Amino acid sequence: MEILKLEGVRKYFGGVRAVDGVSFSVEEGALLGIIGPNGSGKTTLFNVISGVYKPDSGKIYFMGERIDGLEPHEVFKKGIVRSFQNPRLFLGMTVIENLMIPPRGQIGENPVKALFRGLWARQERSLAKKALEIIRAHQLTQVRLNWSGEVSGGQMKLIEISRALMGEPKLLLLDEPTAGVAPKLAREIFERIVKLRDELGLTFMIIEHRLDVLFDYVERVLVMHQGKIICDGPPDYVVKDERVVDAYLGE
Amino acid sequence: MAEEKKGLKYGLAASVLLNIILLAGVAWALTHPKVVEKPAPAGPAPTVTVTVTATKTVTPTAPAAPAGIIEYPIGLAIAVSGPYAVEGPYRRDAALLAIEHVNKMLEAAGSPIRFKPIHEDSKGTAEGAIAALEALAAAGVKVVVGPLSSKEVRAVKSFADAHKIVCISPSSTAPGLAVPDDYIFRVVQTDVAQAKALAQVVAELGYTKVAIIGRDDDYGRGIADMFEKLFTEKYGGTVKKLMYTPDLPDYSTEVQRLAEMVSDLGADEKTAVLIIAFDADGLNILGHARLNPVLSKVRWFGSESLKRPTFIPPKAPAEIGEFVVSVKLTGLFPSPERNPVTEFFEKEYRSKYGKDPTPYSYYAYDAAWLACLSVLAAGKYDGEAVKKVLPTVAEKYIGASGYKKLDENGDCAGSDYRIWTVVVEAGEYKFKEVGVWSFATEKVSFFG
Amino acid sequence: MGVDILPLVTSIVTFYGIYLILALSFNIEYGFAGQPNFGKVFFYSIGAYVAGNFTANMLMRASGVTGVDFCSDLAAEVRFKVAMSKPWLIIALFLLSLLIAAAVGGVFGYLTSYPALRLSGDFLAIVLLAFGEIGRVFARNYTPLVCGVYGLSGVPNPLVWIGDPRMARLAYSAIVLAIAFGMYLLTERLVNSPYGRLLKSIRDDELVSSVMGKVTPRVKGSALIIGSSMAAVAGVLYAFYVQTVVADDFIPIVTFVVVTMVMLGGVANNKGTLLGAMVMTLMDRLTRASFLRILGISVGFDISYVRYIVTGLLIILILMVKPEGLISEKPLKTPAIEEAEKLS
Repeated sequence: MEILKLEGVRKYFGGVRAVDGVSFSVEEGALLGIIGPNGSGKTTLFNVISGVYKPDSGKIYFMGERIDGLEPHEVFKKGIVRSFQNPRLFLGMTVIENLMIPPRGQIGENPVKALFRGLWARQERSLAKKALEIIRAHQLTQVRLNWSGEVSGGQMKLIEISRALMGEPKLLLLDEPTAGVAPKLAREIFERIVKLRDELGLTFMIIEHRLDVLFDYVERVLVMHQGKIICDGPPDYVVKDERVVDAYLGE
Repeated sequence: MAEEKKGLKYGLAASVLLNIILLAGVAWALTHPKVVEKPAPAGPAPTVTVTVTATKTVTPTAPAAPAGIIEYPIGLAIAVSGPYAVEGPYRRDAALLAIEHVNKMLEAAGSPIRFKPIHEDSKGTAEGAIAALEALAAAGVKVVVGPLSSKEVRAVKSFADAHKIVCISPSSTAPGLAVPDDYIFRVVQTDVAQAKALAQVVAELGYTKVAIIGRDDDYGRGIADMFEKLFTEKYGGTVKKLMYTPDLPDYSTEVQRLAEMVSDLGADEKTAVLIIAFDADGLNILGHARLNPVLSKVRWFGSESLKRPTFIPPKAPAEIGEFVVSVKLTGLFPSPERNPVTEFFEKEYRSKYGKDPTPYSYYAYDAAWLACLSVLAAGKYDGEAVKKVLPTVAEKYIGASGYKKLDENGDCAGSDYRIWTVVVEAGEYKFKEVGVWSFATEKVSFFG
Repeated sequence: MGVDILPLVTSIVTFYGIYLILALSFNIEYGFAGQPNFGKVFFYSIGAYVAGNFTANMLMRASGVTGVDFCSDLAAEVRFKVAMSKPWLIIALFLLSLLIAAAVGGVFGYLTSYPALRLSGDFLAIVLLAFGEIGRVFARNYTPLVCGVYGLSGVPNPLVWIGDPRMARLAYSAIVLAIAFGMYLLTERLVNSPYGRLLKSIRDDELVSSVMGKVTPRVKGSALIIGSSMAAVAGVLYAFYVQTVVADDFIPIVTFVVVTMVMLGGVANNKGTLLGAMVMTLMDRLTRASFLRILGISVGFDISYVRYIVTGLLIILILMVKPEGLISEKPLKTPAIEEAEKLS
């Protein structure tokens, strides 16, 4: 079943064609890699899907429903959660608190109910346990109570992923999840991603520059160049494609 | 829950801290005998027949007082910021001068009594005035000069009554505050008197149509509303009003509208403008008006606040001087006969502060004198006693602002108004007194 | 002419209580939610207008006196007399004023959130600052509200019937402090929760917060409603304390005093706000010539201006040494943090 489908999606910034007529679809449970040279439109594509930008034209379907033009929080509610390329953590909070933001239906987020701790403390504790699980899996236990600005760059990336996972996504858009992360940990992250896909049936779209790692895990790769998809196929097919080689060499 | 207990603890700690500081203050006050400051040596004051002996030295850090000196504090709840940033210090200085003069008198007489001014900035707001009074009350002050504005006086009234603190306002003029048997005294006539006199003067000079441009505050409204009422009801005239927001940076729009109002009224020899303004706004309005042909050809009248040095050269630009002379700007000044005290005060004020006193400074000077004299007359530093003797003392007092008899409400019983206009004599701009409105007869007479 | 400490105590306690509420409300809006509500004085004035107008009207009605100008000093006297003779009435009016003002303040806060949805940071600050001035100009021109430029007097102390006015003032100051402290506890509860975390997420990165599913305009609006409601309560307490409501007293400087209290104490930290408000209150009350006299200190010049300068310098100095304020921000005390602390 198709979980996500894009039809002729365009997003221009002035004369720059950041996303220029992109169409593709993603099967549920897929592990999709997105690669391409810098400025090829990968992050803009994520921004358009997640509602940060409205597409200039084209349609986006998520599980059969149109989602183009929705606000970011509405897109989130449908089940699409994303991470950011340059970590955008809530710097006035600790690591654990960052993870406590995305969970849905938090009773204590209502200002009136917030006054009555009994109403939400139990839910909060169980969410916190879940968050600590994810923290442990990403080797962040040591820094869980640090201010989120007071961790290493690699840890920030891990917090980004962890936070996105807390949003109970159906589709996860990860923007360079392993940039700045040690190679060994990077592979562990991808192994976790595969496990999550296998166990929970999540769908992943992953922008990644580390092709060596990426190609070991994903089944399908989209290659973007100048806002267009120039190649779409399994990793070993993509690496042999001339257009892809040209695009990277021309960079 | 733990958090709450911590919160509670912190709050308790805060209130405990507050109490500790307060108690420390009290303890210090009790353990440290009050340092009594001797009055500062007199400045150049040739008319006062008091010589200060040069042997008395005053050290500013720890002024040692001769034994047996009894010091009574006089609170000065006078705003020197906000709306009174410019005018307030004049009145404070006048009050300080009065206390200095009283102390010189007492020293010369060998009296052990001295008055000590304590100034609190009441900020021209109700909250500021209350805070000033509370502070003064805590310091044991029972007699206060101030506050200046009617809204401040209103705000402190119940506090003053409750704490038996006598307040003598040099400049509150709202008619509503006339309440008998309270601790509020006012040594200036209410707005009613000025508006009454002004309406009569304008009418008797033959004007039937008046365009008012005035500050939209209790002062401006007080005069404008009363003037409108009297001028239309009693003299059958026509009035148009434009009340503007005080403290705007520019009034060109308002002046334009004023010109339109004057045109609507006919802009003839029976049309006049009445301006009720303070320094900055007044100067700005006059500056725009002088360039307007309609406004330049009608007669102008002004509230007594226009009789300030601000409005004539050398302080004002020459063009404004020319304008006020050409439109014969005329106003009133609540002054009875100028008397020797008036002259003495002006001379002393000028020599001490190097500037001319403003109209209300005269009242501040008298308010402070009345405060001190009433304490002396009462024979004790007690608000209730001072309140009782004050009307009698005032009845026997003629000060810089004239005779200070009070009515049954503790307000100045009213007095004559001098009519002033601006003239150029030997190249110098001056406010010249050209006539008088008599309080007793309610008649206008012009000199010469 | 002894020292009379009572007025000083009531003065400090009342001022502290009122400004603490304002500072807490600003802390919720700015410290936690990142919305600089520079129109604070506007919401404060709403409370004062509601208290003044409502109480004065009801007392006039209860007096049975007719034909007296609502704004006159005679009417003020009438109102005091009614309050003296009917304790239950004035207390009821005081409590009702608190409730009505909180509601009206909340409604205006909601209306203000309209620009807040579209503007951020500096622009919002300027717009709200202008809001405050517009409110003041409206009130000074619309006389039925609080008698325009003359101001409305005769809003009696709700405890005036005690008889001894000094005790009535003292008791009232205790009520103000109790309400303020209650507000502090409520604020602590409110922010040490997922709601407080939510506010902070918007302050830190509004876009990410919305990408994480938060309806940020609605949340910002809720913070402004809560803050404005609290400010209006402070306005009620102010009106019954000063017993006079004058539109022209609600000038932007009041907002800046509040802002300074929060910045000085440390943003997003209610303990800091407690401390900041305390420091500012004491600096105002204890640097006065009168207080120095109580301590036996006599200065040979007028310290009115000097103390403003010294206060300003002190604040600048503190903020230079500790830019984050006297008490810096701490993690919110939520069960999540407790769970995280349990691990070790």
